[in-house]
Amino acid sequence: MSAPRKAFAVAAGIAMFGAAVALLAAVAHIPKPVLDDGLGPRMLPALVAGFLLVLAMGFTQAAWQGRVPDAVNDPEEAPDPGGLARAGWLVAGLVTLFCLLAFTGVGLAGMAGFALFAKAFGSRSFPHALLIGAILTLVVWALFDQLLGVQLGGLIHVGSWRLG
Amino acid sequence: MTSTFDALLGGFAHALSPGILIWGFAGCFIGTLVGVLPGIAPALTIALLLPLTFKVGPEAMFVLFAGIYYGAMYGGSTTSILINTPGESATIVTALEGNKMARRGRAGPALATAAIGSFVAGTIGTIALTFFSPWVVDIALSFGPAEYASLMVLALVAVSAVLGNSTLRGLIALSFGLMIGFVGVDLQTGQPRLTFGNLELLDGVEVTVVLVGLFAVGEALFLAWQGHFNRGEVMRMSGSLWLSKSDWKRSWKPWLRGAFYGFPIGAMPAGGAELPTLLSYYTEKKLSAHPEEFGQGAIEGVAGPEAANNAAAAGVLMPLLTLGIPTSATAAVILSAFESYGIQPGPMLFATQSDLVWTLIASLYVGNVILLLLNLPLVGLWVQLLKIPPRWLYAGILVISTLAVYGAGNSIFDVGLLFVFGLVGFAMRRLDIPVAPLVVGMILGPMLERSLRQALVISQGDWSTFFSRPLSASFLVIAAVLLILPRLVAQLRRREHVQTGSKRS
Repeated sequence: MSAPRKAFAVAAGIAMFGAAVALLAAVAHIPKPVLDDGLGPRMLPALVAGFLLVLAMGFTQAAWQGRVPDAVNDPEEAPDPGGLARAGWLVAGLVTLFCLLAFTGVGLAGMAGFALFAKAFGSRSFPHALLIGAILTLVVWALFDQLLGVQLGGLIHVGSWRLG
Repeated sequence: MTSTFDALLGGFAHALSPGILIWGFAGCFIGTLVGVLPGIAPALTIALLLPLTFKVGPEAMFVLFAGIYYGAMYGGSTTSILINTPGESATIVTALEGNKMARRGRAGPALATAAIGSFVAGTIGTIALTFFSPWVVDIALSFGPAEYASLMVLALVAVSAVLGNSTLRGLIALSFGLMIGFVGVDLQTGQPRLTFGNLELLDGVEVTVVLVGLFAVGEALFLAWQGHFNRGEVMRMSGSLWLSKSDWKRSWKPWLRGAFYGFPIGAMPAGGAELPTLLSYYTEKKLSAHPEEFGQGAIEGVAGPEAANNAAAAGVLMPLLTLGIPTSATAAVILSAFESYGIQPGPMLFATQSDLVWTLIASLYVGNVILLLLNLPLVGLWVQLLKIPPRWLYAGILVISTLAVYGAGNSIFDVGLLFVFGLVGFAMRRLDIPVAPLVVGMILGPMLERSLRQALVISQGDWSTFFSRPLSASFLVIAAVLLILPRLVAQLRRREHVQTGSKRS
């Protein structure tokens, strides 16, 4: 049995600490109100952000001493080999979905996103996944945009060309 | 008493009208569906449906949400009996005995005792909700802003420090939630807060974005990383769906005991559904005439915990409706739906929106009947759902959730934020940081601030008002005890451990 891994927990603790500092800085930027109501817009956010800073230090210290549980060290919860690759496919799906959604509309974004997500969950045939993704996206678009009136924009648009 | 009956009858008249009944049915159907499917929580489902509040009236909407909430409890038991991975956290115990029963060819009786037990306990819980709520409302009407502020502090502490495995991690989640809740224009003073210069954040962070990010994207990321998704083995349906005489005999007492654990614990600020299901399980194990069967598939071990978790679901609705205090992530999302209608839950709800409240409560009775019918005869349909391969299921959940978030605000910024919360959700899941305190804190934080301000205006800026009013002071004392007690107990235990350890050596 190797020593428990703690890098992820320590990194998370440092990230929390950074977030708390950023939040405290943002609280300092809240303008002072003209009217004083005894509490003001700053007091609670400042209190909570300060508290968070202390908690983040406590968390980082605990992580450093190996007292924060990480699923990676748990015999039941630990990932099967290839965990980072699977997570990587999923993140690639999120990034692709985000970019295509912004530039080409729902249709291509949903289709490509679906195929990459399916890959993260062990799909072996990319064309198969693309096909199912296309059907699913079309159904969702028809249901939301056409039937329920939730605005999803055109199905596919590239430049000035548009479908749906 | 008679007025409660009259109000309830009025509620039934509404709840049974076709325009409402259809929403109740839809809610029960969707709820069972998401309960059965692993990877979709009821809180997530309700969050995805929040944009509908702009199109549908409040009565229909809350009847839909209540159906989803109850339905997920029913559906979750099907999954935990037929696959060894539970669908909802509150049904983990059911998986222990239920899955063993299914392995021994008794899936039918396990499903039947779960469904009938859920019906019995859900109905008992709803009756308790009906008759205790007006009583809680009477007490709550005497609360001023100071009492409310202290009560909210108590609820926040209870959700963060008592549930979950670590006070530190619970409080971290709570603090992040509170900070997210503060983002946007402060309604009292008109000052923008924590927006980092981003115009899209002036309205605050959308509840849907956070919920979907944590529960859908974060959970999917964790499951993909873990790679265990193909391990769950779906059991075949086996055995009669009707209980034999001895099954009935062994089930009815656990149902009742489960209900009596579930409702009161569910109604407490830190209750939740996990604790009563565990208590019920150990009680049944102790009282059973066949303790040797526990661990091998004892029907009592399914009947009791299933009853307990459904009664707890009814219990959670009591503080939500009577005090406006959410004690679980799902309740917090329902509370934010109330807010988007401009309705303030709490004791005044029973006076100002009495039609709405009683329609909702009546629809809970109706929902239990619908769910019993949906779950037993149609169980074959739900079993088919479990056969959807995980790769299509999770990819579908991700695409649908993302498009729903995009459609709700038509904002690509929201989609980006959604994915950021997905990464946060992954880290939280991996490091065992609970999500419920974050969600409850995000929604309760701004309400807490409002009450604090009102209380300070009344006391002319004197902070001692929170300690000099007896009720308010007692809430704060309980909160402090909840915060300190677990640490104290752990310390004492450690000391004892050291002493016994040194004796041994």
